[in-house]
Amino acid sequence: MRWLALLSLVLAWPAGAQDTPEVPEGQVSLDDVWCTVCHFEQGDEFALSVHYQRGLLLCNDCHGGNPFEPDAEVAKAQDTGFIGKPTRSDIVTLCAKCHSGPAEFFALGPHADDTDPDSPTCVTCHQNHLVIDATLALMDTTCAVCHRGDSRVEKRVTAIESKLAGAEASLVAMAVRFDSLQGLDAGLRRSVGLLEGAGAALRQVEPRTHALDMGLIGASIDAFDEEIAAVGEVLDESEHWRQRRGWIVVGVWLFVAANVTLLWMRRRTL
Amino acid sequence: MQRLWEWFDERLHLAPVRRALLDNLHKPVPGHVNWLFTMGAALILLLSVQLLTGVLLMVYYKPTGREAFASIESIMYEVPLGWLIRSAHNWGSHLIVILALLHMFRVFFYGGFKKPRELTWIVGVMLLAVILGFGFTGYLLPWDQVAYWGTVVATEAPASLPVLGPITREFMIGGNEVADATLGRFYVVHVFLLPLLLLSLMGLHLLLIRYQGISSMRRTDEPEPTPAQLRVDGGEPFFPNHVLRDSATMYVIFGVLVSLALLYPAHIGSPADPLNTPAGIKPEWYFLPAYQLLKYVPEVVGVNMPPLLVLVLVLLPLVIDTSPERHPGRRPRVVAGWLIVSAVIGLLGVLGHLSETSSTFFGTTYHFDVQGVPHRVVDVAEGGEEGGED
Repeated sequence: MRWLALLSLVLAWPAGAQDTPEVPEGQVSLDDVWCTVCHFEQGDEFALSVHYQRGLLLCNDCHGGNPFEPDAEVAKAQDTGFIGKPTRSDIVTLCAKCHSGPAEFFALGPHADDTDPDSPTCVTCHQNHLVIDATLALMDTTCAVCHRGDSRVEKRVTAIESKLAGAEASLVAMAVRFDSLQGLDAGLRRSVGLLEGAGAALRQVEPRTHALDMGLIGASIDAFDEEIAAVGEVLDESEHWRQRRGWIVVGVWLFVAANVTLLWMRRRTL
Repeated sequence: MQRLWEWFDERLHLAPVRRALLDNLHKPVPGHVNWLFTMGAALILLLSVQLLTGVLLMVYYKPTGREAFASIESIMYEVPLGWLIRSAHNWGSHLIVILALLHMFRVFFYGGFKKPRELTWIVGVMLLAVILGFGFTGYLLPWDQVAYWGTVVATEAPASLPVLGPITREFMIGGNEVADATLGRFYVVHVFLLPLLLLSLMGLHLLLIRYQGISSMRRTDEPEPTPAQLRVDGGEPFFPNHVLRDSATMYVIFGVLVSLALLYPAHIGSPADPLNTPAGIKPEWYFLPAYQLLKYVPEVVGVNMPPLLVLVLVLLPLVIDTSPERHPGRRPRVVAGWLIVSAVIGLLGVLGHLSETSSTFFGTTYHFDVQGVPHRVVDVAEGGEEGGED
């Protein structure tokens, strides 16, 4: 089970958002943030977001300004770095501060068209205030907004989803197998790094999906497959070694039986 | 060989010693002696294996807080057959406790502890205490989380004793907390003092057994049977008959030990972290009754119980069961008392094992709280509350 816990860390793809906007430990209560007095709808959405729930961001991290200043003019003064609503190019730059990988590959994709003011940005798919954890299912809903009925896009989405889902499933299966064998082979502990490497390789796939380039995604999946195959080889070897030990045990008991029999046969002659 | 013997005999006049030894070896054992009387031999084998594997482990083990865990990892993963040697040492420690307890039960039920063999029994009780001491000190040596925190809990108990408690604890662990000094102390006790004590007591125990012979089932107020009487009563010579039985048992125990070590190698946890207390810390299974008892009675009482039990065992042949009868059926009160105490200890051990865990019996899941009391876990999907009492 600890491997499943580790897996959730490795993948960093946990389940959906919180249902109730509770103030997380270490996070500032939005009641103390003056922005939400006027922008209460945005505040309500932000309260449910992973950015707030994990204590990562407040309003000023994207919009600038001073969220703890009750005077709106002072809060939005130039020296506070207030930018208000970010522009299209600001959005990618802002998100890239933390999500540099996805931003890098997004720039290589078909949606990174600076000449088209209507082309999508990060918030088109991930939302702006109510940002939830990105899952594969996100593609089902967001891509269809613009590409409904476009069989070429739908095919590509299905292909990306299936490749990633397959990789995730193989990592989970390998982690479970690893966990079950580790109880019988303490030496496997030394190969934990291999499994972590496979998890890291899968994490490398996620940002590449933003380029929507099957060649790029395929290459990173291949790299993951190599890592997971290495884990599989170690586990196969562990299972074979366990089988060999089983045969050694059989040998030990044959030795015991032979010796006890010999002793008993010599009983009369001693 | 003959010339070597003659060389020694010429100088030391060993012929009478040799004759006495051979006479002793061929002395008959009582007719009732059976396979149950081979557990002592199995214990000798296991203790020898512990000694051998222990010495081999000492070659690579480093008894400092900074190096201990890494050296155990090295033994498990790098030293050729290190994993097998450590696993055999680990499983051997469990088998020794099991066999020592069975051996003690056998001696009790056959009345072998009675006059004139009280000393053999008392030395045996001391040997049991030494074996448990090995388990207690050896538990810390891997210096992993379970070992570290298990020792922290175990060494905190004596501190509750009035007056001498805190000093006793400080003396045991070499300071105010389990640290490098504790590891050093436990290591020295485990690899030097206890083996010395064990070998001395084992030698004395065996000497007494061979000198006095195995007890017959006669009343203690009747004279001990002579070898001739033993032969008439169906007794067989110790050698080769009983030695063959002993050897067969030793082979089987050796098979069990090697099989366990091969199929279920010793576990290695995460390195000791004095700042992070893991959940569910429990001592070795043979200390579980004492651990669980501390949850029900005041600490002063609980801490004193194990030494008191040892004292009771020592006093058994001297004060508690002095009747001349050996047959268990003819001393029902002592046997009933023994069985009741054993059952209570066993029950405490089971409760200690189950406490703070959840188990499913006949399709129903129970959570056992700290005191070992089961609470039925009701499936939330069924509309009940989790942890509701049965």
